[in-house]
Amino acid sequence: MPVTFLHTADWQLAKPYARVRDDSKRFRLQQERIECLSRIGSAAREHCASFVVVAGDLFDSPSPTKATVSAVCSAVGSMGIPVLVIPGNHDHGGPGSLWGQDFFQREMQQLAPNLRVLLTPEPLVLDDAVIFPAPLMRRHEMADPTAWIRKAFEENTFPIGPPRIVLAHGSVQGFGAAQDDEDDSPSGTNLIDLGRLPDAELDYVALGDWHGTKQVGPKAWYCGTPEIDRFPKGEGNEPGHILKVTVSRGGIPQVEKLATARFHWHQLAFRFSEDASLDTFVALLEASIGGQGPDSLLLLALEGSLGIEASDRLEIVLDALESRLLRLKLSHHVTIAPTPEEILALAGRTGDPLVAAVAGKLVAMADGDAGEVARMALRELHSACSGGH
Amino acid sequence: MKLYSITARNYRLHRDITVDFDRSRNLIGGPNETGKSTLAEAIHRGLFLRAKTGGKVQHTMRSDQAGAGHPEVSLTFEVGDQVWTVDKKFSGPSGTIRLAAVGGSVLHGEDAETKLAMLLQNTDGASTTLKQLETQWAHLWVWQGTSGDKAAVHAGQQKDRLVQRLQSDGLAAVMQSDFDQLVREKIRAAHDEIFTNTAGRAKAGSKLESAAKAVAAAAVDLGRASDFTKRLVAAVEDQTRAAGILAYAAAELPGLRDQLANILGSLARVTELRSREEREASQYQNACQAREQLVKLDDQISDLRKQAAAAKETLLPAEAKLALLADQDNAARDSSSLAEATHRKIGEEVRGAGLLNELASACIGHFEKSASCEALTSKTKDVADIRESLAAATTALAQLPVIGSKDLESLRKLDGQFRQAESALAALAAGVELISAEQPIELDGKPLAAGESRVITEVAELTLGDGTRLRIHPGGGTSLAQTRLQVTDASQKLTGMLDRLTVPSLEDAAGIVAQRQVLDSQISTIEARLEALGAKELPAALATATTDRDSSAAEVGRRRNALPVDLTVTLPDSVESARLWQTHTAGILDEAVRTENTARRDMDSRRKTYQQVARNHTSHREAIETARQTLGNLDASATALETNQGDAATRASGLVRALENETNAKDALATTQTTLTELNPEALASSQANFDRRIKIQEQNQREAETALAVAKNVLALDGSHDPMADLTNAKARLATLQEEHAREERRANAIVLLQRLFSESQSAIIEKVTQPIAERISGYLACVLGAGVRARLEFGDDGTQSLELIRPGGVSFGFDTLSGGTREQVAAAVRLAMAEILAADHGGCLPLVFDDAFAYADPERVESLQRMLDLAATRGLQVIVLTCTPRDYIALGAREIRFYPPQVTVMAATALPSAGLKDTITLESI
Repeated sequence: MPVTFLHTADWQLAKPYARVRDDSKRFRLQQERIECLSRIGSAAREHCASFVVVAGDLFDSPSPTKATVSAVCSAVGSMGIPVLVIPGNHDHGGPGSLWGQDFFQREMQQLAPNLRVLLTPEPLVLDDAVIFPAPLMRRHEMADPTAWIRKAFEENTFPIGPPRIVLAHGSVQGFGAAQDDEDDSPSGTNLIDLGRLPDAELDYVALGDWHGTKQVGPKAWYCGTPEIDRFPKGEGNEPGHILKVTVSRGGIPQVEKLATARFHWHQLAFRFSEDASLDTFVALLEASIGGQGPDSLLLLALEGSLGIEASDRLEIVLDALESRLLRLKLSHHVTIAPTPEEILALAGRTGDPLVAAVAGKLVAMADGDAGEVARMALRELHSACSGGH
Repeated sequence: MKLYSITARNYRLHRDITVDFDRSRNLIGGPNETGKSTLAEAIHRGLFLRAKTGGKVQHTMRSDQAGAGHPEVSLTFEVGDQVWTVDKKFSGPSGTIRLAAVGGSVLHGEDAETKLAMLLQNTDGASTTLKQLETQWAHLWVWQGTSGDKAAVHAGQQKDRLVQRLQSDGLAAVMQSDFDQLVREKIRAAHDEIFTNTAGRAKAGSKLESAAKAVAAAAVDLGRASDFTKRLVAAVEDQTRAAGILAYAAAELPGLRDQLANILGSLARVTELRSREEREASQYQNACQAREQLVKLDDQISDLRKQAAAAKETLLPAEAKLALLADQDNAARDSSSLAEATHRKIGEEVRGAGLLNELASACIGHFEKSASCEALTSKTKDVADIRESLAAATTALAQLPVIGSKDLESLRKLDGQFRQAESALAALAAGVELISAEQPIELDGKPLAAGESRVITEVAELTLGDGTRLRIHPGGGTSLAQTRLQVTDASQKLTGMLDRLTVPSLEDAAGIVAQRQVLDSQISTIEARLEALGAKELPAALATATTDRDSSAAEVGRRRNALPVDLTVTLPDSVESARLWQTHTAGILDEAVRTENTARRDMDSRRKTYQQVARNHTSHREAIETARQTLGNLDASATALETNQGDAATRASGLVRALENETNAKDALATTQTTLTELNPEALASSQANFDRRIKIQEQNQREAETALAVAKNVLALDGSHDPMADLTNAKARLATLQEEHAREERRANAIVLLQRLFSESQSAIIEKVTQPIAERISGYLACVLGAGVRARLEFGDDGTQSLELIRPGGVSFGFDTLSGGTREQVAAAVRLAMAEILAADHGGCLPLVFDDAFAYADPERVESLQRMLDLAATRGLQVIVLTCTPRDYIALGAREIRFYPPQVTVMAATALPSAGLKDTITLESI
């Protein structure tokens, strides 16, 4: 009998977005992650999902605040169908974690009775499925958290009707959050060896940790995070989804990606070859982001060089961009290269020998990496001569 | 600008003085306190002090002469080709100024002040305070005591004017523009906004410093957040560790406790076995003892029988010997008894001889005592006779008055004194003889018969019948009475003594004394005889002799009575016969004694022999008795034992049973000990300690783990108000952001520092071009005083500092401050002259320089060289005014000389000097 359920993971609720300096933007980013749960609930209802599995990292931290706990329980409770959760590396189930806290237990009981936290590596037999959870009980687990499943099949028998679903959180074959620069998990931890699982006995492996959506085996999928929380690295990561899975015992799972993300995470790289390229850059920005600024985040990598005035304009553009976007993550490697006109305007002032002499020395010092200070000084001098300061 | 003349009125000590100046060289000389410096001050204030200045400044300028008016100063000077006259009256707010161009307009009040300031190029306007005044033309006015001031400071103050002048003269090639200056100031401002003036540190409140502070604060926050999460991580580890320990202890403890229980069971068995072992050992020991006792008794009975038999064997010869010893004992006793009887008989004989001998001796004693008694009796009779005569003489003596020869002598002496007194009285007495009288005459109340004569020895009253009374004073005065008193006293003493001696007269006394002397002689003789006879001891001796006699008689009787009854003796009748008898009996006694001694020695020998034999006999008998007793005891003991233990057969069967008991007890004990050994009690005890320890360790671990678990849970029990992990992430991000901001500010600060440095360096290079012409002029003046080859180097720092160095030939440089006082004066003067020479172009080609006692440290030789320098300045168009106490030293200057004199010489000097132009001086007034 096939069963349909939703596979999601890495909600990482209450993620701090610490590098976002603006408080209101940071709040929006955090809040949207909770809002996303309502979209998951809608999808569950729309697709008549029997239950939702969350493959770890429901919370961004093992010690979220009470406010976060209450908000999450409320959102989960509104889904109305069973939500099965295992702890991931971010919200592991070790000592002191929220899963055992009285407050969480009370809130779960009152607000989300449909929420079931699977803290024990033992089969959970449901009416329409058997769940094999592999909870992480510490942040960095050295052993394969799914290792117990192979033994379970050696020692026990399970109902032959309902499909068997593994719920795990970790890296598989080089995929995992550890490869992300925003995660500090050491390599070699939380490793899941899919090859050692009894493939024939299992029907679907619901994985979490890797924030992109990816199939990593005939029956194994990373669903990715439902609301993007970082600039994806590489191609084809496709974050911002949940998976609708239909599976039956002994069959091949039918997997469908459902988009759930709201915010747009852009990436743009640009090299300035001349001052005129600044206009090109501005046009490109407009084309990329357009009116999505308030819902967009941009990873911007700038290189090349600009004249002093163009550099000043670029700074103005970037200043506005940072203000408009939810976040501007900037890799700024644009050097100041005064134009011949600018050099002449400073070093060629025959009536102002002092300024000319200083400018001439700075121009001579401005080349190369060592010349950064001189270039900055030229910019300051230019500003002073232009009525700045 | 050139000074032509000055007139000062009511200005301190100058009541009214006018001095005309030479256009190039002036020398104002005179001793101290003659008003030279006051004149220089008057010129300066005439030029620069606002006329309406009041207060202390104006007050100090006023004359102290009574009735003097307000200070006034009039100056005539030339600027360019125009000659000007300025008249200032310093009367406080009512002060006035009049500025007139010769042949031109006249200005008053503020217009005049403004114009004057313009002429002098005094951009600050007229001064009103001393502090402002000090800055006016300070480079041209060398006040007393300031000649050695830092010359470069003055140059620095005039730097801008100098530069402008040099540029306008084409001497300084390039000079920064106003725009340069504007940009320079902007950069400086930007620098000062970031950094402090000293040490180049970030200024408090600057963006750089704020960014650094923010980074530091964020680092602290991060540290705090990090510490918190570390505590949480540590608590997680502690809890995990504690849970592991608890699980291990829970798994281990039941097994350990079971094993301990087994060990304790075995130990209880050991305890029981040891108790049994003890009991069985005791039983075994008792069986052994019983068996040993039986053997011992059997042996004892056998021994006793053997000993009894042996004793019997030993007793037979001893008893034979005892009979022999009894015979010997009897014989010795008989022999000893016989000897004693013999000795006793001889002893009786000795005693009888002794008694006779003693009786003979007693008789001799009696005879001798009787004779002695008779002699004493006779002597006693003689003594009695002598004592009778002594009593008679003593009685006769006692009947005589007791008068000694001394008494007699005293009597004689008193008698002589009496007689001598009577003779004296008789010599002094008056005689009265009544020859006839018709009427009764009484002398001292006693009728005096006619023809009767009386001796009157004292005052007497002669009464005649008709009542006539006559007083007669014999002897004249009182000597008669004294003599009478002496007679009476002597008579009384004599009579008193005679009465005391109971003799009627001196002669009787003399007779009695003689009688008493005869009797005393007799008595002495008798007493000598009595003493010779031993009269005193005689009665006692007689009594003793009588007693002795009686005792000897009694002794004789007693000894006679002591004689054996059967012995009859006749006592001797005389002492001689008694002595013969005593000699005879003594011989008998000696013989008897010798015989007795022989008998006694024999008796003693026999007695000793008997005693020895008797002791041997007794000893042997006692030994036999003891042996018999022992034999009896042995027999009795053996019999008693046999009675208790039975006969030999009975005892043998008893011993067999005891041996069986012993064997059984031994086997039981061995079995128990084997079981104990197999249990290995020592190992069990060690195991018990081991398991106790292991259980305690696990229990301790359990308790500690429970505590650690509770502590860790407590740490991990967050209140949910914040997320420590999120806090840490936020703190890291904030620190990173602030570090980026700080780095940005630092980059900008570095850029500003670079700009500041480059501006400073570039500006210094430009300024150096400006200072070079000034330095060359200074060097030119210095050559006059220090010789050719000495150069000056003047530097204006970008920060407003100045420095001046002197470079001597060879390149050795000296800072201005390191120069001697004299050299500093010269160098400072050279700088002033050089500046004045350059700046003079702005003042119509000339400027005055006032040196007021400016070369105090200069010796005459140096003053001479100074004059060359001043002369050079004058030659180059400057107006030099030197004020000095020693004008003679400046003769070589060729200056116009104005001489001030002290009061006492002023009259002559004033007339002698045509140029002073003094119309009225304080010195004249003083005169």
